[in-house]
Amino acid sequence: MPIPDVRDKLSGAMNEVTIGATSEEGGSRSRTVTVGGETSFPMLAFEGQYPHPPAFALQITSAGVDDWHPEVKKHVADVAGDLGKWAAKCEEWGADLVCLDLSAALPDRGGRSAQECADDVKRVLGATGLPLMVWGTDDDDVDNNVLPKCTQVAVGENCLFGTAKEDNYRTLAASCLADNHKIIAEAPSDINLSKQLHILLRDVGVDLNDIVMHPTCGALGFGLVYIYTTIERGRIAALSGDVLMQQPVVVNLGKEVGRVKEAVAPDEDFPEWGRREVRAPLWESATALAYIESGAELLILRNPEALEQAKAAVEAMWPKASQSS
Amino acid sequence: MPVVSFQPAGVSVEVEAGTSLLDAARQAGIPIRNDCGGQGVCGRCVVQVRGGDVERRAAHRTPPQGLDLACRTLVGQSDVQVFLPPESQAAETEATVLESEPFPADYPPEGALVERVRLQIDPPSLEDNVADSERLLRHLRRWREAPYHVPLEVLRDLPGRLRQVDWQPEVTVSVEPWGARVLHVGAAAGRLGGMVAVDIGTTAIKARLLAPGARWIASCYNSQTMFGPDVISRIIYCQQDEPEGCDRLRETVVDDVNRLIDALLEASRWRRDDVCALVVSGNTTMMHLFLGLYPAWIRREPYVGCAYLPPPVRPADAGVRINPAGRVYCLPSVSAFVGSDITAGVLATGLAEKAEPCALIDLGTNGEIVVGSREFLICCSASAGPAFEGAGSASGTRARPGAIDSVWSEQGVRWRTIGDRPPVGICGTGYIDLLATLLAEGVMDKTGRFIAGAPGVVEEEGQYCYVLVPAERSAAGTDVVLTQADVDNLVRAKGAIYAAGSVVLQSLGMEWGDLASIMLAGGFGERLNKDNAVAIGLLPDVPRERIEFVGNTSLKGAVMVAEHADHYWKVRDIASSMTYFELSTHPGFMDQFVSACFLPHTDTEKFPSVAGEPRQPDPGHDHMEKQEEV
Repeated sequence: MPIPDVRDKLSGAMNEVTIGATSEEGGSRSRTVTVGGETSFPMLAFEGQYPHPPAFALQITSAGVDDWHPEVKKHVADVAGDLGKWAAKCEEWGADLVCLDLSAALPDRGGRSAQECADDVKRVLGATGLPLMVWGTDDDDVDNNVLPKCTQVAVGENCLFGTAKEDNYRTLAASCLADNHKIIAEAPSDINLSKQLHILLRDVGVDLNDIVMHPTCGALGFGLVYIYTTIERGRIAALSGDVLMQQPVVVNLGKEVGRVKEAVAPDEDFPEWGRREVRAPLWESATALAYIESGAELLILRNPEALEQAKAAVEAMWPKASQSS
Repeated sequence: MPVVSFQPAGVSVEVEAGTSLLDAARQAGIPIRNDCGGQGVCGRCVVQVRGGDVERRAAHRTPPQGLDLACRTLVGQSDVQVFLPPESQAAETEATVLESEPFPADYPPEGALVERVRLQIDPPSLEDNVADSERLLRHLRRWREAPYHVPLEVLRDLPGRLRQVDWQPEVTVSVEPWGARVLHVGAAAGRLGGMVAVDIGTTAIKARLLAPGARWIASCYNSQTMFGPDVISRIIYCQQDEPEGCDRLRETVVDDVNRLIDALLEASRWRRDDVCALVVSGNTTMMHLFLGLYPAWIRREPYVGCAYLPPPVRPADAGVRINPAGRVYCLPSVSAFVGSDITAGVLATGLAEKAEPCALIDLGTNGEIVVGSREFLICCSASAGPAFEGAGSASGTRARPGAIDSVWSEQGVRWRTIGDRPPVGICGTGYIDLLATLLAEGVMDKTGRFIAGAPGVVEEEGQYCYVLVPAERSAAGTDVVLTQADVDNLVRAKGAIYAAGSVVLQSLGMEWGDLASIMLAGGFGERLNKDNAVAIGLLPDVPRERIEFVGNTSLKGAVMVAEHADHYWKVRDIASSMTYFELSTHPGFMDQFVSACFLPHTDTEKFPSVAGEPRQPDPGHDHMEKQEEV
């Protein structure tokens, strides 16, 4: 009996977005990272093309790590005071990108000036050959003050800058356009709001192929399901041909996992949960893998151990080119 | 009891200690703005206490320094002096009379809902000695066959009156659901019977005098607005203060209707006694509140009203001042949230006779959509808010002389007003044009956010707003503006309407393009610029000849019912054959709504004719001679 062909015929594909520029491309990165390009739903090796495995960024910051997870602090304590060393360490730990978090620009987190933040960007670029992501704050005024300076000093490096939001996208969009960077569009867990933001960005001249979207993030057990279904629904629209949903997805999950009870609670509080040093990285890598299953292409982590676990899992399960039809 | 005096109105009222200033104002008939029904939430009812003893209760929103929230401030033992700042004064309530096409001299045609007929009755004799009443009915049946009812108050006067007019009386007869009723028997009035048709909207009320040669339409805001901006908040008000709340709302709207009748009578040469019928349409809650029917169950699951087919009543019972022997009719509703404004609209537009499916969209405070043809009628309601009716907006007004009803772009933003008067504000069609124009001019982005630094955009208290007419050119001497909050309300309103229509069509397996005609109804302007209505996504992007602006169809339907009894039966048939589609429990509605809260729409491919580039000035404005320039 012939086996029926159950493969879906899909009209759309995810955009491919490349971050970083090597010296031939006008930058100074030792390599670039490309995400996206899938032609079917996640992990259906028999059905579509999966040209690029998900990429992992490790987060670094000059705002101090006092509020970071103790299990992460263990790894980064030595380098947390020196962005350059920290960035180099990320490369050593196997990260695909470095994500510089600019919380230090917030008035209550040190209030670093635009110039100081730009210096941080330069320091990181000088210390590692990895492509760079820069993540702003949740304060529009601070972002609009600080981010343009940062895009400027990173000109030519084809970084990924974020985040543009519905009520504050013009400044960052203009800066990224001027300095040739990719941009993160952040809309809270709603595909219509994501699409609207992409239209707004397109209206001010941003190419839809230069956008990576952030549907916001919840840790495993703490709202992951909402974001998961949002990404899933977006993926259905994208693969059905909706060009406003074909942007790869980034999920900034390290900092979310860093504050959930299951990952943070000390051993003595819940002995039955097992040792925290095992539990914490597992919670982070499991969150990352769940998002990868939903379709996310770019994951921002904090814990290098979680990174190692997640990368090993992706290595084992990501559809190989030979499997693809 | 302490006396509360209100300035600048100069009105005083005696109230019990412990009464809130908001209630005191209501008792004094002073409309104070409030959107939450006096729960301390909206912060709109700010007043200044200038003297006297008051008790201040905690509120969810803190009033500005030196001011108090009227709903959270209770009168103490002594007299209180209160000053009402302009921003808390509710929309003006005075009636405006507009002229329209006059009715012909032989109006109304035969077969009106209430008619006067001259009879030549054979006087009684020994051979023909049936009673006066039966004698009258015998002749009435010769005129028109029907089951007649002669009420006791008519019988009591009957013998004298018949003989007084020498058996040649003029008889006033009304059509009733069960037949006909003799309202009056007497001498000839020398005139045909006049009637008044009224559309009671949540936000605005319109009334038209139906009489030979009459050409007047009177309108005013619904004074119930001081108890809450929408039907839900008014129902809550009824529930909070039983049973007085319901009575107070009834009295308020009946007062408005009487004021409109007075205005019509004053403008015309007609007397009160010439008005034999009042025909009223409006949404289900408005009908309940007009008749004093308790509306509480309308807002509670499973959403059931008291009566959808209320019987005709006597003017005295309804409290309206027309000929006391006349009749008051309320048109039939379909459900708790689809009222007689819609059944009247279906009647007026002939939707129930169309060969191909069409849609009727009523852009009222409670927006309704009907899709149908002679084969079927399906309707739904979507709360749009009063934004397009000009209420709740910084410079909103209803369609009246001086209202800006068109805006376009021609080397800058230009506008005109109804009657070319100095601008008093912006009405619904003006808002549609304004949004489309500012979008095309790049003054706002597709979410409706103003762009800092764009011409006309100013910053006030951290919020951007657009100044359409500077203070020195406006009628009131204050800027005519569009605030960010106004834009948000308008975008939500148009989003709700479009989403509701999309969901209903989806449930029928249809799309907007399958409709032969899309009729937009509402009393929010005289002319609609279709391109602009599409450009902001209020209406779908279909060939423009399929879009029709049909005006206030609720009032038109009420007029039609008044002038021909056949329409009375037809509108009842319409009400009983309409299927109600519940949106509040529909899983897809919210998604469609968010998708539609964008200009024009998140799915841009649904609006292919709406280009992202600024458009050329609309040639449709050529007929507007006296263009104003900003």
